[in-house]
Amino acid sequence: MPNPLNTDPFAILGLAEGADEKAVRARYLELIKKHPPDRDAERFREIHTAYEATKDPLAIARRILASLDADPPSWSEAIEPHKSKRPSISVDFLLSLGNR
Amino acid sequence: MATRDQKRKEKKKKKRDQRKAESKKKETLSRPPKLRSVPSPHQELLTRQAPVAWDSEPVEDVAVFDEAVRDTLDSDSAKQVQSIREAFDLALAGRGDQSRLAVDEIPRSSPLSQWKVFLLGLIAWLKDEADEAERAWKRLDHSRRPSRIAISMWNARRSDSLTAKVPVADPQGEADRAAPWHTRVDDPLRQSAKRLHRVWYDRAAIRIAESGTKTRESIPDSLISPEKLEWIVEFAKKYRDFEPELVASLEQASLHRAAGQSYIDVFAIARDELPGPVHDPNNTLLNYVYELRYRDGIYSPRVSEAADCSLKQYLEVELPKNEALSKPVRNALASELHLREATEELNSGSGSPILGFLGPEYDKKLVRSHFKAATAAYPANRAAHQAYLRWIEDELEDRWTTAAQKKPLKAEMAKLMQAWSKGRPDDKEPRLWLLDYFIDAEKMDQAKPHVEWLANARVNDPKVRIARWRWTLLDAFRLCRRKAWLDQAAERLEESVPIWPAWLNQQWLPYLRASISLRAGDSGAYVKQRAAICDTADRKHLGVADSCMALAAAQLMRVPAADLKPLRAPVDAFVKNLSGVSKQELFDAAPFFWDLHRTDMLYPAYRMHGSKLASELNERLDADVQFVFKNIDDPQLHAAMYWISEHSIWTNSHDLRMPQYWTSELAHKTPAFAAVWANRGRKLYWLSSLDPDRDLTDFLRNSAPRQVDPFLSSWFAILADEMDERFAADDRRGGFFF
Repeated sequence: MPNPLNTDPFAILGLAEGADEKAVRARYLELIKKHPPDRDAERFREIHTAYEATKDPLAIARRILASLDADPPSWSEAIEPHKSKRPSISVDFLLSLGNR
Repeated sequence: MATRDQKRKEKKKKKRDQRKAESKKKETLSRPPKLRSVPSPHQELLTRQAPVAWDSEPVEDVAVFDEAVRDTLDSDSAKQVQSIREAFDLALAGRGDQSRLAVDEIPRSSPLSQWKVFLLGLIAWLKDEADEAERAWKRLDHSRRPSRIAISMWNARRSDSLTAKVPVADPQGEADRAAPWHTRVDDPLRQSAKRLHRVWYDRAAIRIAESGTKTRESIPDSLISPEKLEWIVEFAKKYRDFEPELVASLEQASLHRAAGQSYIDVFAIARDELPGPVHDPNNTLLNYVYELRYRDGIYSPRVSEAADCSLKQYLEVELPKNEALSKPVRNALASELHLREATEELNSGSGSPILGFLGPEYDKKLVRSHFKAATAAYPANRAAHQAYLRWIEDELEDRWTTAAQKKPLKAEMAKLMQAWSKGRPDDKEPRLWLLDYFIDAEKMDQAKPHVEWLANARVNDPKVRIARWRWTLLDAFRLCRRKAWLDQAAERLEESVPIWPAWLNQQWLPYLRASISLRAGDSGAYVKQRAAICDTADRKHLGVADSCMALAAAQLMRVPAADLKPLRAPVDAFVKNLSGVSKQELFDAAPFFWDLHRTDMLYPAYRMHGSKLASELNERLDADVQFVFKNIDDPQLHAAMYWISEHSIWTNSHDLRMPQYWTSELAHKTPAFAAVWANRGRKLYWLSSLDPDRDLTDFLRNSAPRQVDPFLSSWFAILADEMDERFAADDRRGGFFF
């Protein structure tokens, strides 16, 4: 069975699973600004479909249960998507960069 | 001097020691290399993560990271500091536009405007827009913290600038003032840049994760060993702050790998040591899946106590309190879990492909409670309503179900349909059913809203389009209940004629008209009308067809039992002596029965002989396959097959066993053959026996627009969609849940 991580709408939108509605909407608006339908129709469709999928509670529930049935991911599948993401830095860490 | 015995003993001991040493060597060689302890992030990262004010640092800058100092500012400045903190959070969360908005109100004249400029650069830097970042940052005051942060961030981009010996810039010097803004690097800034480079660009955590996970497992062929698990726990502790998503991903992968193998102790460690995902933080749901999957190390039959305990804990205690999920998601999850439980309990009983006749009867009470819970938890879950409906229909059709048991089942169905319609007001299926139900119960007021909805619905479904015709005809049947209403009944019957569906045969209409006479007690008129029918009808409509049409019409027109008796007799005689009925007679009656099915107009006596007649025709066709092949494009043959497919002649609830006259090859060429496959298949619980012909749904869908008959044109498309939905639901369950 394919790993549902690859079709996860949260992953497509670049968000953590279970990101709240506010974060999802903000991210959606940011992405469609970058990929408007007249300039990048395919990407727009992908973003829009993913956005709709994040909202439907049944789709979310089914995806959760499907992940229980899926084959366990390989280590590289678990690590690879994070290579292109940014690590997390706290505000305090950022502010500490200016210490004398 | 050593004796011979002593020498022999020494030799034996030497050999023994040699053997021990060799076996220890083998053991050491076969043991995988011990995992190295997870390297810690650079020590400075752990100790220097906090901002520290220097002596002369402006109080506004200190207020950004020191709340006590913030409280000493005037209210305007304190508010601006608050906005700056919010803007930082938003920027680091990837919400650049909102971050910009948060600091929009800070005026240029404010001492805190430096932070506004810094944030604009930060937003650009986070999007890898270096030029944009520089445009903002080069305007900053070099003596203040925002500029210092910007300089370390800029220099962190390149590892060569981390070691370059650049003299500390003199702010007063001409040469220094002309130097590029990012070259004003002192030692503390160089150290800051190094720290940021290691975290942001170097991504040491990724390298360490890759090399750590690549080491061989100590248990051969396992997905994860205890040592690897221990390593993951250590890695998580050290890197969670900087790489929370990577750590979470590795933890989830570890959990799933542990759950994918039968080493119960390894799974127990993973379950207890690693945090679960958002929807299952205590791994209770995963534990339930695991208990079902691997208890006793074999695929075990359902109903493991421990598994049930875990599921109960999850559904009753943990899920309702899980505020990380929205309430609709929690309810949907509960609904889907109950639906799975109901389906799996059904599959565990007799008739299960695994247990077959060896299995126990499934627990009906449990199945019912799960179906009820599934539909109650999330009323908009159509799949739950449909599955529950299918189960009740099966129970009603079961020959062991007594009449006394059927009454509450019908009441249960009515409740289900009402709940379905309420939960999904735009679904036509429950409305179509409720229309009949309320008319039958003479609850016309409750039926009317459904008639109106169906009549106005823009749904390409023939059953919806004929709603008003059915309503009119059913009302005519209802009016036959009382002799005083028979005139109205006749009127209503005639009102149905102009709106009679074009694709539906009107051969039955004269029988309905005649039955009103019989209901009125005018048997003379009835006999004349029947004779007139026989005179005008061709040979096709005599025999079985004639008798059944007459019985059907009379029964629906509420003809009393005494007057029905002579109409039952010929039908009963046919059924008693089926071998004496010709194939042609059965074949000629088929279109009438198919019409009744596709308009949901079955008369009560049908259940006594309908499936027997269909079964007999099926056997005759099976015995004369050439007849089928000769009439392969004949709509009457198609009608016969559609009629047969309405009954459980080709199935138990799990397998589809098509007759000899049906082949996959034919079904891929002739849409009618694909349609009967789908019509029967959609009623199965498991679709595994349909898998080889799964592509028939596409063939059916593509054939739909080409059908001249408007009923078939809609029906083929509906069947295809329904089958695709059923296959998708089956795939989601992955066949076995355990």
